[in-house]
Amino acid sequence: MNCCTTTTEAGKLPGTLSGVRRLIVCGPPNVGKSLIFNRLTGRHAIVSNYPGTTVEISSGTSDRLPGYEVSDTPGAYSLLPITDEERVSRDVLIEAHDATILHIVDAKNLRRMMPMTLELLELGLQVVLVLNMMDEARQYHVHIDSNQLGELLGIPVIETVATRNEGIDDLCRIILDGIPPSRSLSVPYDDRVTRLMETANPVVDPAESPSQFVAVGGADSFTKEEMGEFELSVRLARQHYADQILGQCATFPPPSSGAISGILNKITMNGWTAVPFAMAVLYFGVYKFVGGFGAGTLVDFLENGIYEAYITPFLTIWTERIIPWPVLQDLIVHEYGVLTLGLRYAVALILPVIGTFFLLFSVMEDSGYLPRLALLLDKVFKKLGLNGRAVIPIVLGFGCGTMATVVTRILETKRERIIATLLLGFAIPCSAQLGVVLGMLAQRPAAFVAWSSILGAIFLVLGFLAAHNLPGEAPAFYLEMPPLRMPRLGNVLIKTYSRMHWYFIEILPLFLAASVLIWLGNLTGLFKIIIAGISPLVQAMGLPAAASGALLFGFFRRDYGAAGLFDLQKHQMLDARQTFVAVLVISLFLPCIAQFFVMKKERGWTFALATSAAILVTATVVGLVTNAIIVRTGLM
Amino acid sequence: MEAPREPAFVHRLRILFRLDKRHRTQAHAGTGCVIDYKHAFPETLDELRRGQSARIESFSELAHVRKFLSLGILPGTTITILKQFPAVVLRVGYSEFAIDRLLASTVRVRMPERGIN
Repeated sequence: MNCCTTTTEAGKLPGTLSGVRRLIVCGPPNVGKSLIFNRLTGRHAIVSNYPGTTVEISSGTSDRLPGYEVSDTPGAYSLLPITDEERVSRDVLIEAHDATILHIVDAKNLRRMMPMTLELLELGLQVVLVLNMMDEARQYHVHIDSNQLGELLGIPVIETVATRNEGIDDLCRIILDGIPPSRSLSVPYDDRVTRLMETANPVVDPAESPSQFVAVGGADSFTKEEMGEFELSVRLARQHYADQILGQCATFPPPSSGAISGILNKITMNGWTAVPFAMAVLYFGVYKFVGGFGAGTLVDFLENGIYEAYITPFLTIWTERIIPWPVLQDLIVHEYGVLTLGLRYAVALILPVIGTFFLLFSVMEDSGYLPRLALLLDKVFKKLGLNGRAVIPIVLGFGCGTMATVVTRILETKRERIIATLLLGFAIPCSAQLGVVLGMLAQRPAAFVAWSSILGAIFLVLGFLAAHNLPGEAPAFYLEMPPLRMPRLGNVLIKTYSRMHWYFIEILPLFLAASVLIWLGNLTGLFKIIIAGISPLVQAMGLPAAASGALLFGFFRRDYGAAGLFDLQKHQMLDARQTFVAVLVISLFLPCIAQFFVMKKERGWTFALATSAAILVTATVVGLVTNAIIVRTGLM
Repeated sequence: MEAPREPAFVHRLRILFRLDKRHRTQAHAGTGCVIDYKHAFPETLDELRRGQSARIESFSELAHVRKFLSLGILPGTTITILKQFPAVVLRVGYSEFAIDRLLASTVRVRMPERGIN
């Protein structure tokens, strides 16, 4: 398929070539925008059974729509943004005068979602209304006469079932046939709206609609209360208008009672059973599947069975034959070679772990379990200054902290985003580390329990401190609970694949670069000096001097250091106590370079540097204290 | 007439095990001053009982209004309570949402016109 996808910074679309028409996919969260985007472009934007999957704008071209560039935007309920991801969508939409907007809605919830269609039309944008998930609407006996709706609104209205590829051809045909300009419509608003618009901006044109007012930033000066009043009045007027139109062309029978049903739904939503269920998911999913199967069986097979047995000897022999200079040989193979260390870590140690984790995560999100977990953990998260919604970035952080730091955008307040970023940096080990840690502590369940308790305690204490010291309003929790669904195998696999793909693009170069840096460091003797510098500290933690190297490499990438410790342990250079201390320190260690840069991008230099310094100090102190305690008490 | 104050956890247990039903009957018989008015005459979302439906009247915190609007909860909407703990889970239209209890307490509701049974 002829396409290319680019992900760009918030609010900026890739520069458009002249003659290329733009198509912007927008709509509320969790209605299938990304799936429609995928169907149109043949790409794999990530699709989930919970809101907030798309946090950036993806664009692509497609064979089905020659001459068009299609963009996917994060979910938004209206043009007045609540979260940063919605702001991204707003910024794109208000500048979309030359574009065609595909407003995707969930057909059965058309009543709730149509006010935004009206908002887009008020702006004078060229809109196509896409009634997606028609299959579910039919199940609920919802009837919508889309032709009549289209006539009443003066825009094309298309019915689709994106999961089954139904209606996508019609959609493409309508777009290619050319869409007539939408006719402007005038929703009658009451005096409160006009009054509020006048207080905010005295020179407002009386003819200006609330949408235009919002688009020019008139509402930006509103206080939260004024904003609330403004949006409520505007929304009531639009809802009334929408209901009048829908009254002529649609029927929505009342839902049958007991839609929340099914054993699994009861289990995951009832407090008494939900906790054991979550523990079981953690144990079987993370400990057994990711830890046991991914980090154990698969790593063993790839690392010992294939890489060390065949690939390393092969690469070493050939490199030594082709390149006569030992210095260059060292760059490529041998102990710290790009191919025998960097590539081996990435492919044989990290890939199986991250792969199994992403598979688990995809199943959890597609089944609709994550929002239920959010409901369960909301009370705990409130104590940490977060709300239940934060489970999405936090759980994702156990996969990849870098990805999770970007996803903190789904949180509403800056305060929550800061706390979540901090927690991800300090106390959430990513799956690459986790895999290595699980592997190293696998034989000692007690040590594993101690390790998770210490990390858990740091997580709670840090969150608690942050919640009590950071200014700002208390978090609020409100989230859609999608129905529990059997995950679709195809979707789970595509999602796992695209996350792994992202990870590899992002991470593999870093692994290789770190190998080169280590080679340079060794060559110039710089590392010897640094290692000599930090080894007293490392030895004060009761670790062998050789661990200094692993800890130093951990500075480049946490998992890189963790993998280095794994190597040490395999060669019987660490005893039980040393393993435990080393594992603990490396788990607390600095975020990898990639996470550091994302922290900088999302929160700024000061925050990223200060956090990194604090993490370094915490890791060292915890290492020293833990070692002292173990030595004193004689545990282990 | 104010309902007598009771410790928060007793109040929660009462809601959890729906003990207030008994008190309401007592009040009806003219015996009780232990009536739990909050639950006999629910005024906000968090005071409704599981399975009850009500119409949204208004919002007491303008600052939170937008959160509700994003869920399609606006004055005039009929909702049904599916759960009250650990947070309020309710059905609006064909979708279900979770809202924490503090947020839910800022939404005034009106029960359908019916005498207290």
